[in-house]
Amino acid sequence: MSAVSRHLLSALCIAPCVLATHARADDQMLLMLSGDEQMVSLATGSPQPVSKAPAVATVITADDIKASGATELSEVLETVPGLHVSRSGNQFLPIYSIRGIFTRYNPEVLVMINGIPITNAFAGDRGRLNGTYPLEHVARIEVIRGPGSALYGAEAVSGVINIITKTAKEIDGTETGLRAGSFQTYDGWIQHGGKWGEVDVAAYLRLGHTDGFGGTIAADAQTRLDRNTGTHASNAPGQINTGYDAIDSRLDFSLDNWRLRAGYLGRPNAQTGTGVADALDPQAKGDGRYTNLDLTWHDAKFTENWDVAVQASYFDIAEPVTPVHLYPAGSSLPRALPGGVGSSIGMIGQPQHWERQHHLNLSARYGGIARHKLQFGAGYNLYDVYRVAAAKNYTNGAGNVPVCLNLSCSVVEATPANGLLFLTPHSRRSLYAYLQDEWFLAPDWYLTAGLRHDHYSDFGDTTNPRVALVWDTAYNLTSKIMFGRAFRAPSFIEQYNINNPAALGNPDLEPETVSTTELAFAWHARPDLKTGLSLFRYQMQDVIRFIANANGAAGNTAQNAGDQRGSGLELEFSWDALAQLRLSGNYAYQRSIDETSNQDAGLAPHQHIYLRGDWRLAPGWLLSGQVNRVADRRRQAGDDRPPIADYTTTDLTLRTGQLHRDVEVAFSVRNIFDVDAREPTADSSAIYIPHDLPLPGRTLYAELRIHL
Amino acid sequence: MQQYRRITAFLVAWLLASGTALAETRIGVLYPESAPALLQLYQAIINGMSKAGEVQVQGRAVSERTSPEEVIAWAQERRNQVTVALGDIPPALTERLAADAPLIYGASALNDNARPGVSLAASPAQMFDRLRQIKPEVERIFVLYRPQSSGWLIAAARTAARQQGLELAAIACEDAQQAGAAFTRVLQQARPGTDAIWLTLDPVVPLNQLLPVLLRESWDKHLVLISNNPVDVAKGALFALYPDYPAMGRQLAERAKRQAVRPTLSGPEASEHLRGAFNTRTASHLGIVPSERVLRGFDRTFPEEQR
Repeated sequence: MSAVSRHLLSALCIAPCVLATHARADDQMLLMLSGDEQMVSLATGSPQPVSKAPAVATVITADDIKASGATELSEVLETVPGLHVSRSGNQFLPIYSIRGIFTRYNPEVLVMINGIPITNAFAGDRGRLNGTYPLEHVARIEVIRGPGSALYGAEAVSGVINIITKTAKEIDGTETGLRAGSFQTYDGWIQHGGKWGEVDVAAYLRLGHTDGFGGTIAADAQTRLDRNTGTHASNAPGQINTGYDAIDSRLDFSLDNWRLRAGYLGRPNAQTGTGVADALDPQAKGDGRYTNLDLTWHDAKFTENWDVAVQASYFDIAEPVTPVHLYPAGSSLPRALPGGVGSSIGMIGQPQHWERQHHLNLSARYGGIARHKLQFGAGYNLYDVYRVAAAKNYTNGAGNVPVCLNLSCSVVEATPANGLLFLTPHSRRSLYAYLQDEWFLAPDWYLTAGLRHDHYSDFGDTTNPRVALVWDTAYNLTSKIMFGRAFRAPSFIEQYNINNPAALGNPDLEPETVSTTELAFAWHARPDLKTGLSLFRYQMQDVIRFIANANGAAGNTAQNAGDQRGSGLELEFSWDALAQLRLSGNYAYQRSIDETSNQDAGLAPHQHIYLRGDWRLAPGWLLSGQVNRVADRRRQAGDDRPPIADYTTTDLTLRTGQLHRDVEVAFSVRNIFDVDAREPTADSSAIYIPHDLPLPGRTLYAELRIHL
Repeated sequence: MQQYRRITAFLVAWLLASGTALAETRIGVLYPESAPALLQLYQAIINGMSKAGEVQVQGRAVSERTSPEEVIAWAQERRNQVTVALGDIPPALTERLAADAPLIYGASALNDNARPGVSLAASPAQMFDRLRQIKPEVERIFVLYRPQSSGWLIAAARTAARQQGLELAAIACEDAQQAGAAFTRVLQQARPGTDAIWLTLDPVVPLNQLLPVLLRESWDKHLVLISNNPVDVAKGALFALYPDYPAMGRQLAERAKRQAVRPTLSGPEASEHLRGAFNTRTASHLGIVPSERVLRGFDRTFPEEQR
């Protein structure tokens, strides 16, 4: 008997009553032949990313999100291989640490909504008052690990996260939902997808509130001061302040080749986490407002061989805050002037900024040359921090010790004239162009090569290449080897901070760069088992850090002073163990070395394991469980605190649409065993908050969705 | 006089309206009450039927609770000239309808030579035409079928193959075991680069079990796999043509109109209005470099990511 015949017969033997089993029911066949994206994805396993270049990527669909019980972006990203979401104490903002690259403001990750970056030039992050992003209107999230600057430009150093919102067709009708859970967390939303004449309209509105999970820290920066000065001003032990209100809305109009989208993300009453200066401040609140607008014209059949798109977009960022107690009332800081008052007031500041961005992008694909697919792009960006405001009651005295500005230690409005502003308005323009060619070398072999050049009005030029060789090794195995270089632009804080000796800006900064080599395999071991393995090695150069001034003057200035290297692997699988049960998971290992100290870069987990089971208990009922283990995190060089404890959290979500025809109900418990999970504090926070940052304990919610 | 004119105008309008109504074929469409995703598809087909000329189309969802009497009453009240049954409709609901007016079927593979209607099976002529465009070196096409189910399709395929100068090796099988054995022989004798295997919707081929082996063997032997199902393309078949549902609705309405005047018409016909899916990875392996024009002839390409 030949091998083929053995395979065919054994294929038949594992399924008795074959004819009966595989007579395709009309309904199922009708769905399958519809060519519907969701249907094809269901039938073939996880969908592929709409990536414009070879990459190691993960796609999370709306159904995945619902099944996992995630209610905001960070919870979804934690499930991605090689990506761990840590926390910064200040605002309790998320840090998306990919492949061991971990920094406080996290500018090494490019986050986009519908392909448009939401990076703030001010700090290089996604907003100082915005740590959450809702998911009800998200169609899919694509995460690319590795460098992406050859196509996407700045910040695509360790990875790219693209959030794609639902179109009118994907919403299809009206859905309204309510969710209530632990910590006085409430969310209500409504979304609609339909037609307005000939125009496709998608609309979404969400209102939310949370008191915050209220994890306790035993000590903060004021605790240390209290210890040294005999005061008792600290609010620690006390709760981290993570409450906020939320207003989110999106509109999406499309007609023929035109698309107009607008979005608003508001975070009024956003509390400050562990405090702006790592001293708990229960009263301070921010009011983050992020507005974006984009107009796109796209003609996929511009001519026989050309696919052309033009996009103009606008992004407005406003981050006003109430006066902030950097140190609470009763603190010894700022020191009173001779004859004045001081310690009863505390150290008060009110740093605020407003920023707007304009982007214009032209992109085209050309398929007129045999064996080649060309992509071109060019564009213009304007980043404008057009308003900075501050008020404070202190200045830096001898030895950089804060002292009151006046005898009454009252708050004074900062102006350029009085030298109290921490930053003056600045703008930056950039022009860029890129070219990528996908070359069909020979059967089963593709070579993709791309190059992007960016010119910035402040720090100059940067050119970043990307090369990938793809080999379709077998019908069920694809192998890729990739190399790319990427950069991140210095933030305005790093370039232009003034009057803050602890963190002075440096206009001569160069961009941070990373060079990454990857080897990746995608193997469909069996029709019901998909696996992937990626191996990587990276070298970061010119890492921007605030380091002690070399000229003997007290304080720190931003410098291209660090190098870091790392390597590791990610292993992932998805197995349809039974018709009703899908098991999936991933394991990531990385080791990164800070080349300044030649020691472990610290903070990011060396090992990260994620396992998940989705069990269709009965038609319309889905029970989803996930286990997340974060392990082997080292301290930074020079931090001699005890090692960071590993943790394992377990979540369960039950969802059903069977109770009533148009109603969907879900119950979710996160961190079901109430594990004490903590994320490490770093840099100066390591001194001030020595026992790290607690994550939420057991958290419950119930959710109701009604399809109108 | 004015009153006379008004009456005349009313009578003319009434005659015109009733004349139009008389020229239209009244089609009643039964479809199963189903999940929203499926209902959308049935609705797309029914909307497509309505867009055919000179028809009056009305749909009615039926469930397990619907009685044959209700359906008959509905058909009589509407004076349906033809009934179209979409998808899985229990025979008990349609048997008595067929006695009063022609009954045809749609939204199904129609694996029965005697069942009138429009099948989800793609037109063999278009399948082979597209194959010749993409891979002109192909000389022979293998297909497995059960004569009682797909005899009508294979008869059309033989004609299409002859017109395209292709050899159609159609192998009759009665059950899955025979189909497995037949594929073993096909894979042993197939000629790399010039042979293709055509996967139809005939349930005699248990594709869920056989497809992985067929994909691997086709890859290793450089055989061309073509299909009626875009999901097979996502898994590795070279291309698939599958029905465009609104357009299939129009075809179904045209068939209903013909059936109304010639109730003796029998047998299924293949879908003529088709969408396409293409696998660039498989194409690359077969040495095919599709032009932009060829690629644009397909509605979906796989894998979705750029290589």
